[in-house]
Amino acid sequence: MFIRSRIRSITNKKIFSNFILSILFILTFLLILFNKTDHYLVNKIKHISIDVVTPITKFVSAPITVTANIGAQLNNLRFLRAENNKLKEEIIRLKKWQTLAIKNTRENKVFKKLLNSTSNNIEIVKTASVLTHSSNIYARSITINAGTNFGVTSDMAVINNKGLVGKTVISSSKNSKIILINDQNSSVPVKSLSDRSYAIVKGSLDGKYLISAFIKNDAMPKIGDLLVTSGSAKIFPRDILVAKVIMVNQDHFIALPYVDFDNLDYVQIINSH
Amino acid sequence: MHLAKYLTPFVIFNIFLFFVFSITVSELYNFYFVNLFCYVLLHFLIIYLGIYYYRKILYFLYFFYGLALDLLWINQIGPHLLIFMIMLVFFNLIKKYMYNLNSQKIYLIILFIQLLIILLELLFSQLLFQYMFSLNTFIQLSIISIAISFPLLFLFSKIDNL
Repeated sequence: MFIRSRIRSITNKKIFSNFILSILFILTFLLILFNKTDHYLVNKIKHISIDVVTPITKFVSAPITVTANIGAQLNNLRFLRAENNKLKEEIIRLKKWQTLAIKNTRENKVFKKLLNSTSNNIEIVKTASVLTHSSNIYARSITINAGTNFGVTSDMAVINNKGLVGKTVISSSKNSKIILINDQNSSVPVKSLSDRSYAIVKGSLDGKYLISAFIKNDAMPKIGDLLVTSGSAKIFPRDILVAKVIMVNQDHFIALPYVDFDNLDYVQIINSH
Repeated sequence: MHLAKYLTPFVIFNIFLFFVFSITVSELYNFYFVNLFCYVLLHFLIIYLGIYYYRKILYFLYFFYGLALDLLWINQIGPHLLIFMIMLVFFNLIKKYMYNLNSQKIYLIILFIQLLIILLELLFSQLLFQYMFSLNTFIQLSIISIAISFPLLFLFSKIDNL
């Protein structure tokens, strides 16, 4: 009698364990399927992940992050003198450009008045600080501390003082996730400043460069050409600085992004329309 | 003293796992190697728990870590969750055979499973989400795996005896 009940208990336990495992397996496949179809449920889970899990992991990893930052700062101190000299030279160069820019701004104002044209100013929705950076093995993304509470929604362009950073992919009430332009799955429609070449660029495998995925009419840019957003996709407004072409091959070109993705502290979310 | 009663090896491993997971998902400037190291460590811990501490709570732990890794790293659901769940079924099937193996063989099995699942995760992320398979990354992860596996196993066996 005892042996029979013991066997039944073991069998029940095994059935129960297999049942849980089967449920979790079905749930896994459903989540993958829903993720592919952009289901509401998956978006909800993504919101929870950036609202709940991200702050907790940030808190837990804070000691290591602080230590790493101190290490990086100490490392930077070694190059302080060389960097100072470089900056001094840059200031002299920029002062020359500033004079030219002031002159051009005055001229622009006059021309705009003459043509009665409207200005194409970028409307900044929110300036937000970067909470976390994702690791570099898979996707390249950042999380910022602004969400729908500040009018940040998905598919908005994100910039900083140097140029285009990326676009928002998920926005919860308090946080948003931004996919960077150097991610392999991002695609940014760009044009060269001379309007000669139009292309779509995406991130390279190592995330250091941007590679052309499509070039309109095979019109290649030249080495040194500046790439700006073409405005063909509705997400990115026109004429935001993206990258500089550094290599041109037969069927594609490689560009170096202006934004330093390793040192993003603050970004601005802009209205695309 | 009272705390020590609750700090069983399984609990210690789980605290350690969560700590490693937190570092893995947050990028450290100029310390890319630390992220890679933690990524490998996380996998090693997950496999170790699956082999030596197989219990029902692991179903949920594997599910949670698989899902969280996918969401925080790839921003999509797929490779890690799927691989972790398959791994769990695999452990469920082979656990009765594991009792007969000596520690050296188990060590080799852990190492083999680790390299296999890292490879599969990289391949699945390419298949499902077009993140190109990087041989360079895989080699880096493999070297770290091989280098740290033995010291880790030694450390974990010490925690087991607590």
